[in-house]
Amino acid sequence: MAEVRFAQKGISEVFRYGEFAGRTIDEVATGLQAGIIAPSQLPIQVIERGGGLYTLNNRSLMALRLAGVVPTIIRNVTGNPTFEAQLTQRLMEIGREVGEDFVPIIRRARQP
Amino acid sequence: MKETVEDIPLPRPTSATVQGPKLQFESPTLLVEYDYEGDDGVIEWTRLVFNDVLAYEYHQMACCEAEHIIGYQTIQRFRESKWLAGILKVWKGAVGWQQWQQQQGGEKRFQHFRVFFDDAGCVDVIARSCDIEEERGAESA
Repeated sequence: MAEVRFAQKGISEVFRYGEFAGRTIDEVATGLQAGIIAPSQLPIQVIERGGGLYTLNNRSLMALRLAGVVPTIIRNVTGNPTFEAQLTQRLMEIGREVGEDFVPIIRRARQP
Repeated sequence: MKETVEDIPLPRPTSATVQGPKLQFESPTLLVEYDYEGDDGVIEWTRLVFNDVLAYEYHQMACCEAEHIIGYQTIQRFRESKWLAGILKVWKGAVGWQQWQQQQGGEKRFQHFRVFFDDAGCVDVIARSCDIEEERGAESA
C-alpha cells in the first residue's frame, strides 16, 4: 500500500474531538512512544485520488509520524460524498500538488 | 425545493481557526467569532454578527454532510432552502401575520446563512442579515 499523505494546509495542535480531545499532538505522540497509547487508538480515514492516498485525519497521522509508528487501522472512504468534498476543499486550499513529502504546518493556540 | 444561493466573501478564511468558532447568542443576535493567524504572525479575529435570528444550528464536523462542506472564503446565503421554508412556515403561523411584522418586511427579510469551519463544523443561521467585522489582534510571540 502507498504511503498515506497529509492533505491539509495547516492543523491546530490540539485535538478537538474524540478520545484525545484537549490534548496536543505532541502529548499524543509522546504517549504512543511510551506505549501508553496504542496506534489502533488513532484510526485514520483515507481517500484514493489520482494515484495517491490522502488522509482526512491529519492530526492523528501527525501524532503517529512524530512517534515513528505507522497507522494500524485505515478506513478507506473513497466515494463518500462528504469526505470527498472535504478533501477537495483542503487540496484546493493547499493549491499545489501534494506529494508524500508534504507536511502541514501546526498552528499553536496562543493566549491573547 | 430549488435552493437559491449566493456567496458572501469573508475577509479571512475559516480553515485556520485554532480557538474558534465561538458562538454567543443573546436574543435576537448571534455572534460567531473565529481567529486566523496571518503569515506575519498576527492573530486576527473575524466577527460574524447575525441580526434578528429565528433559528441556528451547529453541526460538529462528524455530523456534517456533503452540502455543509463549502469554501473557506465565503458565507453562503440562501434566499430559498428547505430549512428556511420550514422555519418560516412556523413563524408565519405564530407572528408573521401581524401587521407590525409585515411592516418590517415580513418573511422576505429572512435568509438562511451557512459558514463552514474546516475540522470544526458548520453553522447554519436563519436571520435578517449578517454583518462582518474584522479585529486586528496582537502579534504572536
